[in-house]
Amino acid sequence: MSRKTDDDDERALQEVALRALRAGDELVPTSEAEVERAEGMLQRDSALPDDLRTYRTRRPRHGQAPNPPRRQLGVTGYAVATVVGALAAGTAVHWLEPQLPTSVTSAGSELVKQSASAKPRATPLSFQSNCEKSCCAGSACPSAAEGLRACPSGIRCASCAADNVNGGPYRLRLGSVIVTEQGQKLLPLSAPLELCVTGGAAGAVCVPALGEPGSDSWRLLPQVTPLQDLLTGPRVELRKRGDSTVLASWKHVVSPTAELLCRGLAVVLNNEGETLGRLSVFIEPTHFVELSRAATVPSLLEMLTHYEIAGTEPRVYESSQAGARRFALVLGPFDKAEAEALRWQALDHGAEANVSLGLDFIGNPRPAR
Amino acid sequence: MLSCDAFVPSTPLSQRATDAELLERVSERAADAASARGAEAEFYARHAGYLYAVLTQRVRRPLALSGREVEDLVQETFFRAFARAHTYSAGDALDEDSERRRSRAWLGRIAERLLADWLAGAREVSASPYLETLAEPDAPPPSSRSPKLRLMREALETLSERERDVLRVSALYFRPGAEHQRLPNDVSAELARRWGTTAENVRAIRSRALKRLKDYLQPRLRAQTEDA
Repeated sequence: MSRKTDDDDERALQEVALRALRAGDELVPTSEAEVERAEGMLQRDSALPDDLRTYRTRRPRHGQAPNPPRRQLGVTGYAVATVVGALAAGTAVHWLEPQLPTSVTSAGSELVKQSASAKPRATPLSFQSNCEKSCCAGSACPSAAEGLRACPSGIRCASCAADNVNGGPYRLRLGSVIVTEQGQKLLPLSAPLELCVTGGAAGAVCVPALGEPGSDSWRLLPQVTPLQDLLTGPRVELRKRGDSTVLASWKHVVSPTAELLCRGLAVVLNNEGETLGRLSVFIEPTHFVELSRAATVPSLLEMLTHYEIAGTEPRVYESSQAGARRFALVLGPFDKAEAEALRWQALDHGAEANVSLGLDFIGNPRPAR
Repeated sequence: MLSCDAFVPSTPLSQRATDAELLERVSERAADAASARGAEAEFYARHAGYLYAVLTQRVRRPLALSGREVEDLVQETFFRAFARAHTYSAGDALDEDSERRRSRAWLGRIAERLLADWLAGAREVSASPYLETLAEPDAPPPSSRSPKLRLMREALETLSERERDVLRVSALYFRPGAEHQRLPNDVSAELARRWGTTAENVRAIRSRALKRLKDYLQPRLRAQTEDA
């Protein structure tokens, strides 16, 4: 059996399971019929806890932020079903007679029927930067001080106050190591060297330390760095590739202030008081709003006609994924709050959108228009 | 103690604001904040008891995987509902019961969606707007006495509690039409810890459970059709 058939079969089975769980009243009731059954089954003496007795505007519980992400999860595995995809899934239930109703949301209810004659309206998406209300750096920040307008990092607008509670994660962009005179003497420069960033739960993540001919002199660290890892002080180490011996290192607490987001970090690699190398590191927002994925760029550009985008430029990234997820039509990167606000704009108009960290993106994007 | 009266308000619909009217007032918060607050309080009083009870009964276990409590989910569901009050559609609800159930189904969708977001760490989660929009089915949903419904319940009964638990959590991630769907590694690991097994085995349990459902349902549904 081919992989595709296996996937189809798995999807069909999962649809059946979903319907069975709904029928068995094992999930949250999301239709009137399910609610009716649930109301009939609820015990008469259920009690509300004290802190739910009256509605109050959102109160963080147990000192938590209102909606903190629990943990980092892998990027793959959360493919978004488009309406077309969802309808197509109905054809997968081929083994079951009679066919169960096929087009369902994950909530188990039928999708809204799309009228064949209905002309789709373009979805307006207007990016409103949070930071322009109160900003301190960036080319789009009117109140930035003289030295913080043209930012080496390229950031357009950085808020004055670092969000040390809900901010992040960020991507680190590392420059090539500039070897000092002392480093020329002490470092094994004939061997391939790498820069490894440690300090988080994920262990060391490494990229080549020196610029190679024909390659980009800046390297994006292939994982995101949570805010808490910055605040507790990431460590940058210079190592010989494949060898855990540290040749030189740097460690410092990093708070993503406007100045730092604009100018980046100056990392000085030392070993026993000797400075062996220096490099620049930029800390970048990494939340993209993904509007669509497709197997080809023209398909994505066609999707773009369904949107009226203002305040930001859509771009197309190639990703490391194959088939229908190879190219991504995205907005951003933004900070998390901005990306979420934009995502909800799309959802409010009935369009699809999700926030991703762009970890599967390859190379530089192309403008989408 | 909250009695069942809180689940089913007794005031006739004609003598009180409908849920749709309350949510309309909530959505006009900018124009009249006091009225919106009052409407929020009333809507909450009508449905919080139900939502808390049903979430406690149905999703306490999956919720535990996210490190949250039912109270968090209730609170966040209402917060999200009020923020998106303008998306609520009363549809063709003709009477008080129908309107109440419609509102609760809407809250259920929001809660389910939030739970999936939390389990996924609020990243890369399918963002289908339909989760929070009540569809208008062409045909009435099957009644609780429908033979198909009964058959599906029977099929579930053939599964162990462990298999049902794994399927329940999987259901939160399922996106019709999406390819290569699998449980996130962290969630598999949590389930594995809960059941004293390995993450790999959790995936095997899921596959086995799906196959057992199929084996149970396929011949019986076919027979039902032939009988009909």
